[in-house]
Amino acid sequence: MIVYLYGKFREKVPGYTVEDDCVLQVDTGPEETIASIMERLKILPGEVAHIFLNHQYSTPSRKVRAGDRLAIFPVEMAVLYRQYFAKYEE
Amino acid sequence: MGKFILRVNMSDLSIKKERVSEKYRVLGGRALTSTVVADEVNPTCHPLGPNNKLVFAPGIITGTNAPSSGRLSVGAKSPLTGGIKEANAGGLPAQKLARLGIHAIIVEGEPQEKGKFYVLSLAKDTAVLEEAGELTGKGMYETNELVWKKYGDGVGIIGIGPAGEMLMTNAGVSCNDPENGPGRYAGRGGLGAVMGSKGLKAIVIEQKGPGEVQIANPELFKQGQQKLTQGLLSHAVTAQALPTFGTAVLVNILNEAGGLPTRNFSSGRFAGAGKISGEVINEWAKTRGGKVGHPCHPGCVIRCSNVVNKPDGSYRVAPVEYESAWALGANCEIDDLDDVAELNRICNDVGLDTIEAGCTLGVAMEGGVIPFGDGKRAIGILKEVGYGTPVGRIIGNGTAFTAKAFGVTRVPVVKGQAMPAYEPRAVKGIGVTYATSTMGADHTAGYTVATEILSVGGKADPLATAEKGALAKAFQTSTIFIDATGYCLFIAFAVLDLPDALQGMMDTVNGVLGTNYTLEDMGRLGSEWLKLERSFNEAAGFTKQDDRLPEFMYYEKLPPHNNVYDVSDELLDSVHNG
Repeated sequence: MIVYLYGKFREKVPGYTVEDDCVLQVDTGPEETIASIMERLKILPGEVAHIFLNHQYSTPSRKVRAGDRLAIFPVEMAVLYRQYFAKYEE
Repeated sequence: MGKFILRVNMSDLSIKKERVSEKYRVLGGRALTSTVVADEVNPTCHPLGPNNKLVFAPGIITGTNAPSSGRLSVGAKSPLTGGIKEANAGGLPAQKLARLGIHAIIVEGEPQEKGKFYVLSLAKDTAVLEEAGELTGKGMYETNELVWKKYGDGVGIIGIGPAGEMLMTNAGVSCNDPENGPGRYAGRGGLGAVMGSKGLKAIVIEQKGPGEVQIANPELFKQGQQKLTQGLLSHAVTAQALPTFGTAVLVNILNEAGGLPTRNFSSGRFAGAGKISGEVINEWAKTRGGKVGHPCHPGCVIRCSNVVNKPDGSYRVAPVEYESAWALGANCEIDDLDDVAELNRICNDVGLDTIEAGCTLGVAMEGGVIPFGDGKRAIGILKEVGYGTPVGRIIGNGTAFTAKAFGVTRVPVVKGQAMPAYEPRAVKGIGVTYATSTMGADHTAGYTVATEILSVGGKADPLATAEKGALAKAFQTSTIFIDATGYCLFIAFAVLDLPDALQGMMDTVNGVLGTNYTLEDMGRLGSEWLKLERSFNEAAGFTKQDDRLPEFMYYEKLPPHNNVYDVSDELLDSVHNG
């Protein structure tokens, strides 16, 4: 799967720029979740503002699979009228 | 000195100072402008004729030292929608008006000599109409510069550019920022054209110091001011995200949500989103010497504004907001932030609302006038608005007008007003707001205050509840209340999550007015004011059929979610009638 990182999370990708996509290719195992991916990337739950899995506003409990697109935004980017978004859970 | 209303008659150039009735005393901002319009304007009048009235009103709290409370509401019958309109802006003018004791300015009539413009000059105990002279025809950058040169640095300026003077229905009303930039706009709904129809080029406000703002209960006000300030300075959105990245932080977020309208609302994702994002604006502030964390008015603790410089480090524009970066960028498939910033500057100078301008360029591109993605040619035709060429006049009259001119059927408007930067097919809740707002498509009309605060729908996602209509109405009633206070709507982020901050807001309102309003009153009053606006619109000819999204959104699937807008008409009708 591909993980798109924003804000300070970009620093996990060497040579990143703010103008271009900042992506990591991550292998997924069985029963893999967004939370386990975050743990592998050393991203703490309290550091995260918004998560989108395949463009759906998501909780960390959702399972992920090969081919998925995951985007993670840090608390420093926590601007969103989130009441308008359905939050997908597993 | 008590508060007063200034009534400015442009037919005989008279200015009267009127006492504030008890009915109007407890109103401010949008609640006051809409009440005056409902009381005094015939809903069927021509918006650009002598019987429309233009109302300026600072908020209830404006002029005090409460944080982020310097908003100015401007109201009239809209030439863009044909309904009631309120648009508000930050900048210098609102606090200065309030500190002069001005509760509202009502501008009525029309000048006997068409094409002649005036400046209303205000200072302590004086109000004078002067011929605009050399300011006539000038863009807002030069206008502001000339006004500061004549009246002194630091004066507040409310003005219109050439688009307003030429009565174009996408003309906005500019308020100057602390550096005298014209970029704080009460942009929506063509209120700049109403100001132009009154022959009023600018209002200049000379005022220094704290003024004489009346506070009925200073102790309660102080408690509230401290609670709200603490909330704003501790919340992640108002203390970190907005000052660091500005509102344009939303470009990447909405793009990931598949809800960033792209290529005239034909996709929810833009490949070039990252290049026009708040992260780039933040980076440029470091490399080019612009600024983030810029306050649009003194006393704003959120400081979401920015200054975007040219590659050589010289000033280009302030601010580039999310809505502007999206409208002039993604919606036109322009991924060069310098071009987007230049388009934004032209809007500020000519006097246009950036949302409407970006949507207009989008339909013009779809109509084949210029190609999608061509920033340089977009700059060229937007400049024509200021020159008043035939193409410029088409563009200057907004999205729906331009779509008709060029035979485009994908027209992203509600009640004639262009949609902001949240695609309703991907963000369905905001589509309910767009459809049912009294203002036409307006993201700020349904800004959310927590569902639990208003005891509607619980904490769950609104579209997962059975009370969607009631929830949407609750959003609109809480929003109109904040619009009445003069607080920036962004305080809602803190108020949403922090009960103390919400109480602080209410305490400041009660402290200023000497009232005992509760949270229930917030909903009740908001509901009454919305009903007033709805009644005006009904009398102007609107029906429930106007509370709908554009037809194409019901049958064109939007990538990447491939959804149509499927919220039922019954639900939309239930928002105000449930």
